[in-house]
Amino acid sequence: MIPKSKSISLEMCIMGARGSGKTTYLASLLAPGLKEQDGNTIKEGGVKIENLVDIINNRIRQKQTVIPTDLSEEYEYRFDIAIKNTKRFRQAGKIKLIAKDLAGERFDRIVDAFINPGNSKSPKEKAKLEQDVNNFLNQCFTIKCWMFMLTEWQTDRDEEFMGIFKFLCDRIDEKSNSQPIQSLRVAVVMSKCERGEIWGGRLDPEADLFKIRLPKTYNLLKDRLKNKVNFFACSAYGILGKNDPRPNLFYTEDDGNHAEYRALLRDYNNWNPYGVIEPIYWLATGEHLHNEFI
Amino acid sequence: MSVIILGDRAVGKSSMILGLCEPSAQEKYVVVDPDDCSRLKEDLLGLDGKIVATENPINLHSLTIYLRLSRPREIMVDLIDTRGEFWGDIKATENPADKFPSAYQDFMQRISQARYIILVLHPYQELVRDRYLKSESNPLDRVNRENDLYPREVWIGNLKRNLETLKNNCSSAQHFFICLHKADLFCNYKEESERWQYNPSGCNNFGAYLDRIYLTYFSVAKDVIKEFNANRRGPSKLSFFITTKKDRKLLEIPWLTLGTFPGVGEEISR
Repeated sequence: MIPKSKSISLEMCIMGARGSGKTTYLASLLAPGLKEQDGNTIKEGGVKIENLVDIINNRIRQKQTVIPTDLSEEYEYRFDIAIKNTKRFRQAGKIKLIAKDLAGERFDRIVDAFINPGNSKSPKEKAKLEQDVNNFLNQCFTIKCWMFMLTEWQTDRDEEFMGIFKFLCDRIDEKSNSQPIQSLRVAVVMSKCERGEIWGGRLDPEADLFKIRLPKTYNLLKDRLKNKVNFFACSAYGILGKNDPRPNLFYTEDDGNHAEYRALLRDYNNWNPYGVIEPIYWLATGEHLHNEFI
Repeated sequence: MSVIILGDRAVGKSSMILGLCEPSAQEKYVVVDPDDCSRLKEDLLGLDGKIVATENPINLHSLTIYLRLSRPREIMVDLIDTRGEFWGDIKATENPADKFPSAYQDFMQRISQARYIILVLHPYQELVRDRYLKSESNPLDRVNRENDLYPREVWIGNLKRNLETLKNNCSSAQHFFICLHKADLFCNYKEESERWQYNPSGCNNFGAYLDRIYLTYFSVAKDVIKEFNANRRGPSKLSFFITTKKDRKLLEIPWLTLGTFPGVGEEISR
């Protein structure tokens, strides 16, 4: 049992393929709708928080796309999250979150270095990349909470995701004696769940999204990480309202880019992210947060 | 961080910056450092006050530009003014790589390292309205439709070639800002500028502006643009603008949009 007055510190890193919505997810923690919900409060902080505030004010709010995070701009953001309705469930009331936003390129680099190296690189370049990825992973291994963001639920991506997670599970096993890894928690989050095809799957993402859509990845993670892994569904932009399930987004003109990258927030004042606190809560406490929205 | 301005000969690359240097009764949100302004004017303007065509293959001007956004930023701009044919003017007879080998190499290296690139284009012949051509009071500025502008199909081909060059040579570039310059020749620029001018209180809809410019002026080259964007992961790297040195508000929009990119420039105290 966790005393409700206790504040829990959580340090996590957020990883995932390019365009999976990592930065937008963190920005959504500052959405007006979330701040005002049921007396929950989220306060932001950290030296680089201005960067995230700029992304909201200059990009999201002004109907521009969120720019990919550069390797040189992987900042740490701090949030104080106070959850009001915890009394009934004897849940923790406060989480002090430090979230490290990683570039999607990290994901590609793991693939390029170890999973699908190809022949285009010289041995020297290859060794350098491997070294670089290993350094990066070693840094990750000092953090005991990881969030993985996936956005592609199409079954044909299953094999690819499985390859990456298999590699990571192998690394985790190698480090199984280290302290952070012993208490590792991995939250796997399906983002952009406002999309009609998967919105219904949000209520039980483990059964209705991961098990069905990405069975190989799901089985591998369950088998290798057991209770260290959990599955979530979120939508950073959310829907228009409780009785209006239309996604709170619109698409810009077709310029040849994939529709996913042309989706922008439709109504800033009505911005209610869905399911963004739950994975954080589980990472911090190991318990599930009751979702008032359901 | 470097911003590079590219474009065909006499397209108005220098005038774009000089337009921002002009004194203005309006509030300025994009401010070129005053010392840099006067230096630039000395370098670029002849005795008659007219812009002298750039003689050296490459002229480098370092400028500081202040963006007065809600959190003010200061950006260092390397204005690399090139002779138009350097960038591959269709009318050029000689290959710049043969004509100025070392300058060409230097140029390619610079564009490969640039974070942001501004590409300035002429309008195409069919876009220009007769009444705007005739009503021009400034004879120095008179554009001859047939001699100075490309017909639409050639213009599209030129854009295609430009975009291919950017795609193949600018690996560090985060974004490309494509400006259809001389907007006074093809639209009621005063109306457009009233409509889209920067609003410092924060209610800007850059997204709607960008969509409109793309649809209205660049949809003729839709296929070329789609091809550039196809199979990319991440948002498009292209944004489209209309600019004219006659209107400060329109000239500022590309720079203010540049300022919305995270990590651009240094924050300065208010």
